[in-house]
Amino acid sequence: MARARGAIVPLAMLVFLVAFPTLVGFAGGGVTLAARILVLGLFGLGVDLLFGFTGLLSFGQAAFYGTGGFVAGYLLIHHIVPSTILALAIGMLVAAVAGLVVGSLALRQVGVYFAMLTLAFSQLFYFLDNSPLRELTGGENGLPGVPRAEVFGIHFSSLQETYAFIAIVYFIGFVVMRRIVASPFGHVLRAILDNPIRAAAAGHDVYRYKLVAFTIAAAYAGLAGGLLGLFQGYLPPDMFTIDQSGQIIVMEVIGGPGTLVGPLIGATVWIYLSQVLQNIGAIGSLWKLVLGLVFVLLITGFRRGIAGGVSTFLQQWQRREPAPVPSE
Amino acid sequence: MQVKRNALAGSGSSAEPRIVAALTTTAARAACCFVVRNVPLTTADGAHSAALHVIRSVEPYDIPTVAWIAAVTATLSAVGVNVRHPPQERVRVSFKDATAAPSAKRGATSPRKETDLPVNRTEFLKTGLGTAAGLGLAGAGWDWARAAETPIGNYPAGTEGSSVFVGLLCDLTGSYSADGEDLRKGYLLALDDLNNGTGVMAKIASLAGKKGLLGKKVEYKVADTETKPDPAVQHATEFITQNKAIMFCGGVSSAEVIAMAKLGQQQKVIYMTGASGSNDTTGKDCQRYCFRSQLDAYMVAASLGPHLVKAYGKNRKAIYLTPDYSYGHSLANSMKAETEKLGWKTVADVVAPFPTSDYSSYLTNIANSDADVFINIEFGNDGIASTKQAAQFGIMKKMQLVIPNISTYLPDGLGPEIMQGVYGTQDWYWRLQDRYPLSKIFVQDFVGRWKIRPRWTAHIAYAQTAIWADAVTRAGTFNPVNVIKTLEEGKPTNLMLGPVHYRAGDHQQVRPCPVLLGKKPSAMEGKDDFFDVVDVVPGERVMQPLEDTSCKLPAYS
Amino acid sequence: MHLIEAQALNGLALGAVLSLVALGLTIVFGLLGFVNFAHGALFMVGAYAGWVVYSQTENFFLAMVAALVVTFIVGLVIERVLIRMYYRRPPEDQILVTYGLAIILVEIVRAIFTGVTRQMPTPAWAAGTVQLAGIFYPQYRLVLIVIAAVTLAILYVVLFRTRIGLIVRAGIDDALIVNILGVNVNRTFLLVFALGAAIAGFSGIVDAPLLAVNPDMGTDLLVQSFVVVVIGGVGSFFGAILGGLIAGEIISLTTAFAADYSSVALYAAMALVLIVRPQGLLGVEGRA
Repeated sequence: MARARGAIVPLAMLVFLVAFPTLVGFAGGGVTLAARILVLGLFGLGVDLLFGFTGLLSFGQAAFYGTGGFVAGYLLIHHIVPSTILALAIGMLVAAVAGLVVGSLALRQVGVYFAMLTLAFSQLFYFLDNSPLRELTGGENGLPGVPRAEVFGIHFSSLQETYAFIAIVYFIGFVVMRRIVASPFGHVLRAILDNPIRAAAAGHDVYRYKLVAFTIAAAYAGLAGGLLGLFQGYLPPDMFTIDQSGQIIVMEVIGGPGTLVGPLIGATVWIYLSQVLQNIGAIGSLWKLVLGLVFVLLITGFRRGIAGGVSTFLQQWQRREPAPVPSE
Repeated sequence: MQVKRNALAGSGSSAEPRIVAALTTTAARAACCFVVRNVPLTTADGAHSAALHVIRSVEPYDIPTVAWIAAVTATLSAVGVNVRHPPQERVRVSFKDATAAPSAKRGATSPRKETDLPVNRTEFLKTGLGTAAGLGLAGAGWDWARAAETPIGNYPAGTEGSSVFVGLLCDLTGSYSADGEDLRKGYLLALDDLNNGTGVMAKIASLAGKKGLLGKKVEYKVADTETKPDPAVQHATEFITQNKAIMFCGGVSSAEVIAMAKLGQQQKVIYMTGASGSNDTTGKDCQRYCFRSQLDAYMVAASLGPHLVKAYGKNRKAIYLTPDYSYGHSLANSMKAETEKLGWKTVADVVAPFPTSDYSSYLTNIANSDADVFINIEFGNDGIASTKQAAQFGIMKKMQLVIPNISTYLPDGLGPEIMQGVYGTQDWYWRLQDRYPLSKIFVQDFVGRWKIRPRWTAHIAYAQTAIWADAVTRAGTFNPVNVIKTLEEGKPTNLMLGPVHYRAGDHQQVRPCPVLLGKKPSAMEGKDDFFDVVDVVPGERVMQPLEDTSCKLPAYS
Repeated sequence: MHLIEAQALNGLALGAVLSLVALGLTIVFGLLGFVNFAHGALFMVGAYAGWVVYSQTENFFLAMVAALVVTFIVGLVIERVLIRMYYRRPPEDQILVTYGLAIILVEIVRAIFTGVTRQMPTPAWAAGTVQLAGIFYPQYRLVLIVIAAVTLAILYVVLFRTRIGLIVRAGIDDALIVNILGVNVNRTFLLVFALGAAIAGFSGIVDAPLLAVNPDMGTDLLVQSFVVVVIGGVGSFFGAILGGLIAGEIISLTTAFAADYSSVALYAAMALVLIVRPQGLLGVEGRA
């Protein structure tokens, strides 16, 4: 029974991934938009492990997103690595190593210090990409010409096929992350989220656990970065910016931290709203202001995001109790 | 979408209920897929490729289509309809007919009248599906035969209706938001002029007396690129795949422009650049589907160099402040080559990272050099900050300041005190209205609509739209290959700077290059009267030799 | 004077501004335990407030006053409307809400003043150059060092020599006890948050003659001031000053030798400090 229940969520996710482009299509978006949202969703899975499950707010995830993307992209563009999977894996690995290094420094601090440190380190990556490594990364022009995915002789050449490839990777990433958060490791992370001192008192090496979580998040970011290059054929330098780090956090919070699907929901809402708002005549260039207000309202009133809010509502509804007034 | 329209056209009825239309579309798509899957290649080669064409033309909807097929099949099975065989049979027949005699079939395949609307639900669906399959495929087959040219990019899919779509990518937020806003105003004026047959558009020979483009209204949407390449590519992709854009344009930084040019080439949709001054745009990153109108770094240097030597004499020593990115390096190198050719020496090229806010360390080096001309390559806000700080260091008392490419709002940020006596170039400047009658009309119309004078980014927006519209009209088709070939013919379009055209080899515009000189504050008439137009250098004289551009244009298709 | 000394002087001027910005950040953090990601946006708001007044009056002194007053009021409003609700919430929420606030402030300014860069010239009385041991140096940069030094001195007196300062510093140590002792801590919080905002705004206007005044001007500075705070030690008055000076010197001196790495060197130095002394140079251990 429990086993069957455990399979429901992945199955539902699978169905959702198949239907997703159609849903996006109804909303007026294309399959590339669906692919982009999945990439951000995958990126966000790592952020969710960090923030939603461990309580670590990193403002520097863009560094790993960019690192993974540019490493994988560079290997593919220059045919150094023939296999897409291998290139993605190397990109992911390099991002993870970068995460390990940055994490081992940044995690010496907690809370706001940690956030500031990750932010500062991501700036370091940005400047490295932009100036000293310009010959490799294309500097401010980015890296064009990333070929489409090819796995075991199967070419994922059209946009639809590329979407399918990304959906498969996302699905695997989602299932793996579900296993991670359900594992004893995941339970310790949640214990750290609840009360780091208690977790330490219980004999857990809090720093080690955080570092592993940070490294996993960096690996997810790196993988997502590689996928962005695959479907877009182009790696933009703004993958490294503070804006990128901030945006993924905003998506995480809008969607609902600690839910795994939160970032996906957040990315959908953010991207969809930004497209819709831009095309409302009276709003136009004010779309960012409106989204900023929405974000501040959400974080103030609905701390658990859309996914969290919905699940709370469902639980309340099942118990036939009136939904509570959201409090701060 | 194309299938849907044809299906409706074929039935010859305009008052059909919407629900039927939606159903027939879906069913037609479903039928196409059945054909592809079920018709053996050997026996029905023509039909197969035709069906593939239909599939391709609805490609962005492929997965939705599959989902629809699944949904429709399930529904029909549930009500007891055998969906597999009848449509397949009918499709096969109608398709062969369609390929054999398209025009005859087109007339013949409208067997259904409004009175045929079935009463029974099952019957209704059955008829709907069958007819739709016939209609849809016949329509598609007819289209396939009519357009002997192979579909390319969003052609003909994007041109089937009464309007075509153009995607506008403007930097509405981020550090170039002012330039992006100017760009947006330029595009809006251009497209409204095009649709209404007014303004400068009406003065272009091929467009005079016409409204819209090839009889179609030009629709548009504006998207914010946030001064970053990633959102630029994201929105441009949406315009291409969802709105079936027949052309897209915009971008203010070379990074955005080069990224979008690559997208245009990949998707086979024409891209007319916004502001981009890097040599790479029409050099190593040049694209068959991309056309650039702004002066490249080489043209800036070649137009400006002789004027500098004339004004300041030979044997001068120049020092450069260059932002560390490809545009900066290409402009600095072009300026060095040009001025050294004319007898100047280069003391040093001081390179600062991008972006920088405090230039004191770089300026200390410059202030303590023995140079007598300070050539500031920095652009945008970096240009403003570095020049302000240079003034504080007293550099302008010792050296002559030159800003080769003066960004749109740089004079506003620096003020006339600093700008006076500074040589530079801009893509266009409103004072050119004294020389060119079309510039005068452009300025008048722009001021009439937006209450402010246009800057050079607005000029780029208008001119690029106009020259594209002219090429489409002269080509007589939206087919991008024909339009590109028309643009490559090099027949000039008469615009705000007189006749301009693109060079076939690299798609750089051959156009007059204005050389500007900053006015004294006392000589200014109004707040944005910053410059005197010293000269307008004919473009032919200052083009970089094609063999030096390292441009290899990719294929048409 | 040799080039290297000139670069050191540049570092001092840059460091003075960075110290000032970082001090606003660190005071607020010290008392409220609150990192204000909107600090850079407030810096920009100050520059705009000053620019509006300067463009009307051409008086730089009035512009400085305007920047102070406007950002102080903006700080009061933000604290009352929003920040107040966040004192009891985890620091992550506080960061997020101020991050959102920064977006809102930047886009409001863009909506009002457009993205066009505004002209904020050097005040005429400081526009010249001074000859220092053989090289010419901008007068305004020296003025900037003086302004920063005077401001820091005033803040020192207020924080360390007055009753209000006593309460603030006591609040930094233990807000609960101060509250029990009958001091209205809420009002102190309000004042300190607004003071932090005003310092950011003041830094904005005094730095404006060097920079391009546009809505995005505060973003880079925010990150640099984080680095300063981390190097100097969070919540430490002298840490902010020391960190600012070190950061300024690092940027200026690396530029003289390896411009490509000037930004990279700053972050490398920060990493080094973290390894050797995680709480920052003048930070107190265990105050996270």
